[in-house]
Amino acid sequence: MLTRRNVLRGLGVTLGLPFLESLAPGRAIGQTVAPPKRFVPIYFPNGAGVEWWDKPGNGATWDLGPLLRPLAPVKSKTLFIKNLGNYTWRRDLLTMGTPWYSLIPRQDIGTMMPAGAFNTPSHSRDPGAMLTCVDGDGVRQDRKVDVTTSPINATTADQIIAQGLMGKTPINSMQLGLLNGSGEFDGRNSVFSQNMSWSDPQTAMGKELNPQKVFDALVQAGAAAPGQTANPADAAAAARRRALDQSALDSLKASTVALQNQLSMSDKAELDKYLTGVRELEQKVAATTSMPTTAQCKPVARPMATTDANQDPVGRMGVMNDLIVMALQCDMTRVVTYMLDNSRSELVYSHVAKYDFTNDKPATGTAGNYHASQHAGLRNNDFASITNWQVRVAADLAQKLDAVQEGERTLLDNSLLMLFSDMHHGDHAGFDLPMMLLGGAGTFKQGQYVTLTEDPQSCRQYRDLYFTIMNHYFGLGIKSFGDDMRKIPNAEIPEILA
Amino acid sequence: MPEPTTTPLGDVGSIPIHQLSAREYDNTVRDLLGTASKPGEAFQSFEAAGFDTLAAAGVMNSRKVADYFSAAGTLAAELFGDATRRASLVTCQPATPTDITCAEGIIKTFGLKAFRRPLLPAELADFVVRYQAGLAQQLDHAAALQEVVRIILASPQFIYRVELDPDATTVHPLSSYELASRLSYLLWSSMPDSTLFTAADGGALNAPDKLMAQVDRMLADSHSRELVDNFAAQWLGARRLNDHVVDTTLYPMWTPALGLTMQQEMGAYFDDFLHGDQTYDHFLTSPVNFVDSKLAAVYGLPDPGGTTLTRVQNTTGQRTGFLGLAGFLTHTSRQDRTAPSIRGKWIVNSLKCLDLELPPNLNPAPLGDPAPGQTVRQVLEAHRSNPTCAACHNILDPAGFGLEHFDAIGRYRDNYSNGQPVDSLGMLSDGSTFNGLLELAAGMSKDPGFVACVARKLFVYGLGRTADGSEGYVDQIVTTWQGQGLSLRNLLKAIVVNDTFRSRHGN
Repeated sequence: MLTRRNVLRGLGVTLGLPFLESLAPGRAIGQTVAPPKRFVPIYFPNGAGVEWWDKPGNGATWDLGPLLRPLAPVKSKTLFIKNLGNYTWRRDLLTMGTPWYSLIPRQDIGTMMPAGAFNTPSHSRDPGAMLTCVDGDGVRQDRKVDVTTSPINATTADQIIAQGLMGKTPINSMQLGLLNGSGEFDGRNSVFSQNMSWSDPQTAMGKELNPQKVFDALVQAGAAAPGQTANPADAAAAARRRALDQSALDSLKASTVALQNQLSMSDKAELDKYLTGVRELEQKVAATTSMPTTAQCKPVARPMATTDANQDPVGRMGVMNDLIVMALQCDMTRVVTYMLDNSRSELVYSHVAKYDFTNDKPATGTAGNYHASQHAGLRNNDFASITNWQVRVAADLAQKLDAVQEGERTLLDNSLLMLFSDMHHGDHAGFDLPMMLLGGAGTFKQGQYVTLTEDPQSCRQYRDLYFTIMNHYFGLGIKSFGDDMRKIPNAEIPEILA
Repeated sequence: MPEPTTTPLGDVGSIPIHQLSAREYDNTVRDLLGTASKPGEAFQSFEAAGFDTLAAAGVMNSRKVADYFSAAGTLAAELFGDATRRASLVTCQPATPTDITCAEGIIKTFGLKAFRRPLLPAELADFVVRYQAGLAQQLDHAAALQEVVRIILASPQFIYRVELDPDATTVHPLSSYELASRLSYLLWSSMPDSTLFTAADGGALNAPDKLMAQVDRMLADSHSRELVDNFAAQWLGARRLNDHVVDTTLYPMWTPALGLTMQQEMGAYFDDFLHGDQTYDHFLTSPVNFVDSKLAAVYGLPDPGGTTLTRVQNTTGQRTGFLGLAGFLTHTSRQDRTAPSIRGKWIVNSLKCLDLELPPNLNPAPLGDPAPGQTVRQVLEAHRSNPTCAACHNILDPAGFGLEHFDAIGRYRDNYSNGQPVDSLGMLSDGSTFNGLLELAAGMSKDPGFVACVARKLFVYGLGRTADGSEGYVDQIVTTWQGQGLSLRNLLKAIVVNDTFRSRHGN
């Protein structure tokens, strides 16, 4: 039997119409459109081996640090940003005895930091704030919910952007995970260590680790080559299936609403999340009648199902990156939030050959335990080798995106990748976080090393980066995003703009 | 919103609607459908306060709904695709093409088990409508019922445990069906069985003697193994051994199979207190081990032979009780060495229920590896010379020091690998000093906080919420338990007869 899946498996070629002539979803034939812009935050946990991370540069004059060498093929499209922080500022910042901006030494690396900048960072508090730019503990205190167990946070930047793009693609946003290291949750709900995106303060979106499910979701959303039609027998069965699905979902909606009428406000809100999920399923059921496809769409082969997310990381990396390319190229979604591993991961990176960065030569053996090596002192080659691998994952994705021509530019040019971590290094600090942007042509500087001010009273925070992305790149007209205990209003960061 | 009614003991609490954990979901579909499939294993699961059973750990989102909907379809198809299982469900055929009484009866019976209470008339009516919609799509009787089963399995009434309030404030007893579910998920991590449903139907479950009799009955059932594999495995950290890594260049004896044996021993040791006749005050001092030949070698005990675990008395004079179990000693070690602070922290958190808060605005000094010729103790003592660090490490480290005679996979040692002798002197929270595991275990056993802690852990696990606001009730459970002798059976009884278990305030 000829199913769509079989067709896809055998599909070796793509129809290479330029994007401007292609049929974008929801648009009339012949209408030319500017290529869409995409946002792909790529998170890696535990900070970076900062001793070998970057080499100080200036504007277009810079060299890749040892850990960043995998980016060489896309260096001209990389913007390295120094001194951007996401301090979980003390809440009593402005009323501290010592002025919050007075400098105190950092215990391990000896540099200075503002006295008010340390709000007991941890592997659950920091990642939860990376895309919200507010301290989740404070959010939960203010809402009078349990700080330690409640999964409530704030709406994340990726989701504000996705909501701004609502309706433009079949899938509003995707949340993906690469590896699934386990580790402690530092006294909070594990959602803060294993999840990045909140569509609203109550709804942690989770993430998908199984490439096959990612593929199926893309195909279900219409990521098929143009011109494909299901055979008539399948069509009748599919229509019946749709009618039954719709009947089931109608029933679920009605009984959920009836149940909600018997429940408290908070329980009703919990079931609202369930109802949202049911409505999204309904849209998927309905959407299968008209498959939006673009001429650019180039589905990959259906991957094998994975039960253990930590098996064959190198192979998985390639597959997940291919799927992200497919998702963006086929315009199935424009926001992909990609978590390379869980916060405080204790995973042993035995798939990574250890490199001796001290002497700049290959070492024997493979890298060790991620979190343990993070805290095994400065200049640790296991930790640095793992950081280097995270850069390789992003570089692989960037190169694959750059290989796809989209009009006069590449898919990388028309996407904004953000490689970032929630910690500077083993000290858990939120200063000078490892961060770079890739792509974003036309809006952001490319091939440059930008150093922002270190002055505590005027230094820039992640909230301003997201503010810049939301408004300058996506034109969403966002008035304010995130928190700043210094009471400094949001502003774009002109230093990073082209 | 009006303030909840409180009593002199505090708040009996009100558990929000409560998503089944992935494990509870898998157990429930096993008992409801007779399936061996475990769709929950593929759900993304979270935990809070150390347990995946907390209502707060049940994160709901569109991804989860899609997972539930898909699993419901797969499970229903599997059930109806199996002639034997289908026949046990489809117990009648419609007398005429328009006869719905047969379908209605089947849906009613299945619905009660799935929703863990009788279906409401409106629910039943809607399911019959869905059955008819299936027939209208040319499905036969069984296939149309399969559609209804699919809907039921995807319903919030199935995937959540729901408890209803007559109003938004009053403290009120749970319905007998709600109580049956609380019992079954506490003791079995699964749905009630037919005996519980029958008792619930009779409305007589709420009386203390009935509840205690159920504890005895349910503990005798093999499903109560879940208290070992779910409660204890999470509380005592046995589950952490699944992902624990040991540096085999330093510990060539270590294999994943040894880790599995250690995990099984932790379960067997706990079970000695649950189904055996040991009382919890001996949890740290019972000189019993469960070994196969691999683990016997770790302990320096004679090879018992065989591949299953054998219960043996530990006569080495080196180790005793839970703190001497290799599984515990291993999962609280680093891959390359012991870390007294990690062991100490685990003991303080998990066996004494003390949650140490990091000092505010901490700028932590790094705690590096010992230099050659230096011991871990020397590193930690230097660390504690900083008063900020001392605040926690004075509490964390001493218990860990007492266990330094055991290496990172739990083997006894007198000297570190660099030849330096082990110093296992430590200090208890009351200021008395001790030397080594045997004295630590004896001293900690007298700490009232130690016995009270297991009650709190079981309360949090079983009720799926923190004990905040209900401290007085937890104290009451502990007092009741101590009056009855400290078996875990009696602890379960003290919990199920407590007002926090039998009632809730309106929400």
